[in-house]
Amino acid sequence: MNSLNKDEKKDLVESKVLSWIDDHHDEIAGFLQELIQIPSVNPWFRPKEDESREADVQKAIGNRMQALGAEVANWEPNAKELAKYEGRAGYYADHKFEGRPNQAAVLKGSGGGRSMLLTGHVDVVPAGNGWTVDPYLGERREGVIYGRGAVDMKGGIAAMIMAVEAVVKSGYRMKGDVTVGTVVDEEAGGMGTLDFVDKGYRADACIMTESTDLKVAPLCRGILWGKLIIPGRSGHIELPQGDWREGGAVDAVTLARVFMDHFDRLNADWRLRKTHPYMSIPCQLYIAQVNAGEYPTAFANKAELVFDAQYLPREKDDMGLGSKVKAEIEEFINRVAMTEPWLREHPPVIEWLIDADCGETPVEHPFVQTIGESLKKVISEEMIEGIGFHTDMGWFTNVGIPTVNFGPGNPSVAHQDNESLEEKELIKAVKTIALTLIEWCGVADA
Amino acid sequence: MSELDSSSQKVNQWIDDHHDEIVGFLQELIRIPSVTPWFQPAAEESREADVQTVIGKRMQALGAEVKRWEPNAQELAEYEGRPGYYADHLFEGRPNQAAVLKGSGEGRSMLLTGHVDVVPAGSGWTVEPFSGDRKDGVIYGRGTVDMKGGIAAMVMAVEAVVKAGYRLKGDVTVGTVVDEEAGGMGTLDFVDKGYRADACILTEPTNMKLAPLCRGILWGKLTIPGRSGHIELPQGDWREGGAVDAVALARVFMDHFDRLNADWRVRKVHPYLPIPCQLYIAQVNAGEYPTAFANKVELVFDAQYLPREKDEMGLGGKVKAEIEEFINQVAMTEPWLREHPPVLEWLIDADCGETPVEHPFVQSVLNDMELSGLPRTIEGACAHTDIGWFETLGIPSVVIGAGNPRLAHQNDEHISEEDLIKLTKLISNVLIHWCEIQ
Repeated sequence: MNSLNKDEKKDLVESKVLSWIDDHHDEIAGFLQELIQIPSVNPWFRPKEDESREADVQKAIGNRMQALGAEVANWEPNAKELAKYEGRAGYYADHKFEGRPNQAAVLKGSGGGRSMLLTGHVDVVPAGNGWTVDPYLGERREGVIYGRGAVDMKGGIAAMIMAVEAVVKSGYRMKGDVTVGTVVDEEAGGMGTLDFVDKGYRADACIMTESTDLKVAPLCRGILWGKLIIPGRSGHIELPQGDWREGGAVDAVTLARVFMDHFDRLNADWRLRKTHPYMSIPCQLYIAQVNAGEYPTAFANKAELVFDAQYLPREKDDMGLGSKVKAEIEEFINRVAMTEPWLREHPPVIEWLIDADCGETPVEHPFVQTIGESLKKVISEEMIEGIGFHTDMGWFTNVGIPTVNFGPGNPSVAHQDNESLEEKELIKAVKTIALTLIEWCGVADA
Repeated sequence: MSELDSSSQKVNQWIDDHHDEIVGFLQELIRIPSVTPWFQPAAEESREADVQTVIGKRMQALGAEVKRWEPNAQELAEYEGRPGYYADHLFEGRPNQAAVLKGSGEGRSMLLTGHVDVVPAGSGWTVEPFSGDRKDGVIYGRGTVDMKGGIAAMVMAVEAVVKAGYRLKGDVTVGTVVDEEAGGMGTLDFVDKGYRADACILTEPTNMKLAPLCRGILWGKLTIPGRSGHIELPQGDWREGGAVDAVALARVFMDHFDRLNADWRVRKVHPYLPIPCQLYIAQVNAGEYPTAFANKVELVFDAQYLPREKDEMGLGGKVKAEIEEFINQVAMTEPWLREHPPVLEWLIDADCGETPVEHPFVQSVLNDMELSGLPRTIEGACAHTDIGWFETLGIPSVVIGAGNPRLAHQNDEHISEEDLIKLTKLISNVLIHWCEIQ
């Protein structure tokens, strides 16, 4: 046979690998089912022991990777050893990791190629009530796989591993090293990823396979949760109430409305300022929860507003978190308080509940272009769009690794009842990642 | 005219001479905790019957005929839909009581009435809520204002008249009921048993102002549906599955209630009320998670209504209809709400009543107030009282009592001895002039 030119050779590799994937559709679906069937609820949610088996998921992954020739390393993170990250994203002094290992499965390349890190988390949130199917059965019905984690994010874990398997089993060896890094604890704040990065794992590029509806997401957003407590003064709702300076009541519900009206204006400003060419929505401060008042006959003594505010990677502070945005929100709230004499003397209080970080890779980066083109080959469309919520990609971008989120599944169904993933989408994800591996890491005959 | 006649003077003197005894009687009543069972108090804090016993003995000693009986919800079933009727209220061990001091004849009769139950103490007291502490001319305790002060004053007013040596021409009934703090079924039963008089005084606290009316009270819970969805992800048209933020919808309703209230501030006023009727949001609860748009919101509101707004059942059916219509019209402005309408649950409808100020009885009481050295201030009670049934039956009634209504149901509820004595004197003066002495 005549030697094929480079392009023809690459086309051959690609078509062989894509065919392997099509031919092994059931095996791929089966691997996802296997992962779903190991309930791995994050201990933070206090699940029963038999529903909290992150270590067993790691084992299933490790075995699969080992069979492909990867070297698998497995270790338990330790909060004390990570104490230097106090104040950085993902650090929680009180998280425990006994029996909860992180894992890195490294498939060494033949040499002379760019390396790739494929990463994701193995923990899931609890199932909750309201499922009409068994959340841990991984039922497969009419081309859909059901189960807690199908979308968030065992679908993505399965996709990345089967992409590697597809390349290897098609008879190829990647030139660059490929690391499959799977972490625990993402659903409780991302300490698994912090530890993984701390252990020194690096690569020339990274795909984190959180669900993105198959879009290539070169950025995610940071998330702040705040609880604003607005003090009023109770008093009989049916009786005349005089000046609060003379003991009269102060209706906390009315004050809450003042803040909500002002937040409308903050949001109008953010709609102009806090946009990103690759985000379809601007950052906003949304009130998720309101609680005020205790009795029908009393003016509310206080009002609590719990809000979710998102921030962009460019807004991060030097710790990689959202303190500048917190400061902006606090200042805004203080100024609103200044407009009300009662609040000047009885200021509202903000309690920050969460600050989840984010990261960004410039769209022009060769890696983003590479995976974008791979996706186009699979779905005939180039879909590049940032993801609206937090993912653990921040630490990888912090240490200089060009990183994207890319994964199968609709993020809206994550954490919901009857979480499910279309098999077609799972297969497309496997194909996209496989093509990216081929293009980025380069392949040689095995 | 501005001088008290000699008999009133003598009775008032008796009252002054027995200041400590009057205070002591109030303390005695306070020290029998009589929390309405509706609040599920411990048995030893729920002793309405013992309060009735103390009152009954006192009245018996004055020559009154005391009758006591337990109300029965089943026997009152004909009042279904009328004020104060609750099919599920139980009255075992909880008697109503009527102590009738017969007059010598040919005089106008009087009904002095009030409730013996109190609300729970709650937390935050700096003194023992049921000790009846007396300090610097002030008596502390749950019920001092609402309304054992009033009960003590009316009983001691009768005692003062009798012990000063006078006999009234008209009958005086001291009618004391249970269950007011849970909706007024005690009063319903009392009038059902046929007790009537030519005039009635209900001694709920009014800061010594004469209240010829009170207001009806509606509590409603408005549940507004939204549709949950991820708060950090793009949400499209709700018609295509997008989220609907229930908090935003709650704000729409609250903005509209501002306009309703502006209208009510103009329409729902009364010459004798210091404030207009309003619809106030007391409680707001929305949302479950920081990352989800609120799936629904619950707004609990308190709306007051005037006696002239009562329906044929004597309740607030017309005002409920007005509020329901308003809410529906607001819902109509929102496509989502047209298909997923809000739901209104009525929690309470407490009635009210009014006696025209020109009525001879009201004028008589005003005169007595002036004679007693009190300002002739007329101001309706802004909250519910049980006056409605008496007024419905054609008995001219006023609410007047010592103590600041704002202190009712609060920590460190208290009443000044001076006010307690003033009220006792006033009632005795009213008895003398209305019922007349032999």
